[in-house]
Amino acid sequence: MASSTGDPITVRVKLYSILRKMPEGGVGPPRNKIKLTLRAGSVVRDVLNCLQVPEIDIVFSLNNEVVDIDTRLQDGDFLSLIPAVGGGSLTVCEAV
Amino acid sequence: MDKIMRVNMNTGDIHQEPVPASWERLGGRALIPRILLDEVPPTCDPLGPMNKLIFAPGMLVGQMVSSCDRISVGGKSPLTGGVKEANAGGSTGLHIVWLGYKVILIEGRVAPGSMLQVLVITESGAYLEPARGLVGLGTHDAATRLQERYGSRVSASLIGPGGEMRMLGAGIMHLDKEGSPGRISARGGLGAVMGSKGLKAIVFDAGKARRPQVVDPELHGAAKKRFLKAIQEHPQTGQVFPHYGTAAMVDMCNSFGGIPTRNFSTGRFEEAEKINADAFHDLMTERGGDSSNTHACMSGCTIQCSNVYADVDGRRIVSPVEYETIGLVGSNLGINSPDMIAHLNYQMNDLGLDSIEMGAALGVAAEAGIMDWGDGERALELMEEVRQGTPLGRVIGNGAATGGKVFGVERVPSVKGQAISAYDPRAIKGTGVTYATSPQGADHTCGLTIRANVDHTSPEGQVEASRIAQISMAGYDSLGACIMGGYAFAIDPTMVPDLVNGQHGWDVGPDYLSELGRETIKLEREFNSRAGFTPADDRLPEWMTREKLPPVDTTFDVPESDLDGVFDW
Repeated sequence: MASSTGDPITVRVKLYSILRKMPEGGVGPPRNKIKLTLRAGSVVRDVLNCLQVPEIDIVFSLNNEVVDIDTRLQDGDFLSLIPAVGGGSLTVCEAV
Repeated sequence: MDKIMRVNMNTGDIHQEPVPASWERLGGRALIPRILLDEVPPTCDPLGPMNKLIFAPGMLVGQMVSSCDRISVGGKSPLTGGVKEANAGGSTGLHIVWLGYKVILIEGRVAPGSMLQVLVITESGAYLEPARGLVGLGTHDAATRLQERYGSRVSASLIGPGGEMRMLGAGIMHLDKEGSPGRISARGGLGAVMGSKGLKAIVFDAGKARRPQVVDPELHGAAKKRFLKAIQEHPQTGQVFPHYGTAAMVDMCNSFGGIPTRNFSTGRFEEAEKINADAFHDLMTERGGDSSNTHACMSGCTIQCSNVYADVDGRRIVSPVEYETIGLVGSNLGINSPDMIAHLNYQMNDLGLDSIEMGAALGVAAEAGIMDWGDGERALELMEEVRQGTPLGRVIGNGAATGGKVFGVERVPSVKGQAISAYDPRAIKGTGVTYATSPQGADHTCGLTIRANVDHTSPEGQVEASRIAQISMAGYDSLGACIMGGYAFAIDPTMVPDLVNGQHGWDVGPDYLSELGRETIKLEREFNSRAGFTPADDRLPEWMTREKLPPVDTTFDVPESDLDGVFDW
């Protein structure tokens, strides 16, 4: 977690598809909204660590803007964690 | 062992030929422009007798390697006027290879006024017979009758009323492994080409024929195992797609501000969470019955990104509901109901129409005031107009570009006459480069860049991203490999050459996929050039270079000189 001083911040996090916390035994609605209290100066990466999110490619949408993993969070932010998908591959032909 | 089948619809003559040497090492998408250059006058009428309808399985098809049994259908497109390849899952590709054919060519056309025909291909040969009781039927009833008539184990490719009426939005439906016409060679109006030939359906009865022997079972088998492992271990193909399908793209594209909304007037749908992957997943889980979040569109596919969507009573409405349909028929029309999207999807499948083209055409119609945003019932009425062949229905069935002209709408999302898919090119500019420059017309499957490591709203780096994606996609399309498997293939670049060499006994090198993709695009561009295409055709609609897209607040601003350099490699 980034070192910083100041009051803790509260961030609302929304999880999508496989990141949602499925209920035990599959009964009941999945849990997809989480409120986190973090140290001041926290970044998106800290949310992933805190929630023990699997190491997959994720799109981070912070207050409806796509951001990177090192973006600093502010009190009251709304962060969506969306597993990245897409057809095809952008790596096979890197020699082009 | 491989052979060609030629079917002359003028004379009814059907014969087999050996494969010409120049076609031997091509398949799927790559083989189509080669055949067009060799045999079809580039300036011919796409719905006239000189065009040919080509069924060409990809080069890996037949061995039930996961997600590698796709069928490419092609010809000169009546929608774009250029080369067209449209691939699909289902069982058509598998059965063609098992029957021993590399390609099936439908030539000429029946005499005016003749009854539509059914082509039946079996182990012992092939024959044409009148499509009695099938004319005018939707693809679901037609498929049921074909199976009653020719056996429950046959596969089939067929057209619906849209193709019979030669609508430019018509595709060719293929039966899935359960026998339902849910897989479509959708794009470019190939269903109209099939209708123009006078062909309602092709039935494939593979009998006891099964997969042909591969040349090097050890090499092939080892590569197959590595590929399967890579699919299962990759989060996208091993976790997200099997449970949530391609609908998982809704939130991703919406977050980038690129989901088409109310005829591409904004890139963020305020009700996206009502039609996203989680909404579909939870509804299907709750409803049970015929519903399934996981469904393989081809036998042996382990990605299984397809689904079966059922109503509140658990009765199947349609299979599958895919992201592109959700984007074009949902947000693009302001429709927030999964049930309504599914019902519209069913009607489009039954009519044998491309849901991307129809969603875009309905968006243009809504812009013209012919339906209100979000009015799904009106959209269903318009689909009924298409079925009845009314003048309004025919306008919509002929696609977005035709609709724009007839209704006097400027904001038409199409390139080379073909509708843009569910990524607004102003928000995902690399995909915009693909839409503009692909020889196929606007088509995300020719080079989607949403996963590229670029700022999607900047004009910088987009040509490179599109070029790489276009080459890769053209390669996969020629192999018969689903582009969903691309990330798994990318983990180990030896898998594609080993599969190809193991199956065919060739000696292709590590750059094979790239070389195949480039050769394919080169052939396609050559055909288009001879058909009269120029760089002026490689452009997005002008209004997209002028109108900023909320919320990303940019136009499509990749310079034209950059677009002209996409294929300078």
